[in-house]
Amino acid sequence: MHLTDDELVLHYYGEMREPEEARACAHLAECPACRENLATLQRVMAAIDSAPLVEPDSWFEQRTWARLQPALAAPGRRAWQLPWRAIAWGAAAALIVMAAFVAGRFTSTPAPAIQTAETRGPVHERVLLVDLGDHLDRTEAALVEFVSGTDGHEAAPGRARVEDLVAANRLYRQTALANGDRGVADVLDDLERVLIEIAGASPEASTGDLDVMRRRIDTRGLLFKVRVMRDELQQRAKEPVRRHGQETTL
Amino acid sequence: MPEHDAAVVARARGGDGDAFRQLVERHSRSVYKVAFRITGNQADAEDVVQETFLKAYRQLDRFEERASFGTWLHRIAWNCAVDLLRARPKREQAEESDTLEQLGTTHATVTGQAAPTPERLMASVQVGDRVKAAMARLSPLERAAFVMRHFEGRSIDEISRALEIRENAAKHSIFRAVRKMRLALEPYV
Repeated sequence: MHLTDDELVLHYYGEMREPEEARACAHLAECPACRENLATLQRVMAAIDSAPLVEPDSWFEQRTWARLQPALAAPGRRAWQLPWRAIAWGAAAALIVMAAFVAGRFTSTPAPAIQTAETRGPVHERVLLVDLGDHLDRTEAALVEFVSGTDGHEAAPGRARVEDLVAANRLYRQTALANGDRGVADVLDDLERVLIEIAGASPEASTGDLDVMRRRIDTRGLLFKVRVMRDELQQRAKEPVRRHGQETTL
Repeated sequence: MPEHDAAVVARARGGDGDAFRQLVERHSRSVYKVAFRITGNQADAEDVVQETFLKAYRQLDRFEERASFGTWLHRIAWNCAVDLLRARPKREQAEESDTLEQLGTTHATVTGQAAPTPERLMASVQVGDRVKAAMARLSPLERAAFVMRHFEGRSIDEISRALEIRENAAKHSIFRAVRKMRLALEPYV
């Protein structure tokens, strides 16, 4: 009786009990078909072993530290229990409340009204578009401040302000991903890496180090992408919405 | 000459924040690879990296300097990744084997009734991409069990205890994983 595929897996990994292993070896010595089947399994396993591992990007270590450092001071919480992840997977209402809070901290105009359950759907999306547009405005301002700085920290945006932008950006990026808006998510992903790097810059970083970071942001055209996306979002936010059978621009 | 891990750990224990940052920068990449293999996605892997270093930071006094810091970290990472999978709803862990049919091939096809032509093989995606795609199709349980068996060299008994499932369930998760990997890769090896 031939060895089954599952028995060959156990044999391959040395997981067979002694008597079964002896029987398997004896059978393989006499059966070309089972030997061929084992050889195929071995080729598949070799291919798996030889496949290149996924490599994180070149900023990975810095990004890890930038995210880790504040968490080291917040004992007792698990990484996937920290607020931004819980909210990202939580109710849309919680996201709107957070966005309104962040908006209220940095703008002089009142935060947009929180929508009720009856007005979710297109109106809910419009609120998010407006909030995201506000976030991009604030992020652009922080980036411009940083990129145009010429004398070290005096012209750089405050660290706490940038950390708040990182937290808000993460919420929006995860919402965009959940909504299948890949283009927005990709730009927000680029933004987040840069914001994290700025937030993680050591207070002892030299002017030279900061200038290298500034050139990297500038040449990437990130500011251009932010402006284009903000303009597109403003256009989308202005499109009429069908509400109770009537068009409204809200 | 770079400072040995044990010396950096000793400084970190003494409250040197820069020392712990050095450890993070040295080891986060390898921890990520362990985490990605088990969780199968970037976001979860990054969360596992965070959790691993948080735990390591809090348990630094338990690290024995004669051991390898990297190995110690990997053990923590492995446990964190498994904890993350355990925290998932059960329905995510117990994916049905109908995924085998969803792969679009049958064993008959694989054994040669509709063998790919050399031109098709040459035009096909690199084997590495195939491996990645096949791993992505495993259920979380299948992937965790397979990674632990194949890459970590853990016994089925150890896997069943780590994943808190019966030994038979661990065994069959590995069988299903290997079956799926074979279906996806046999035409290309």
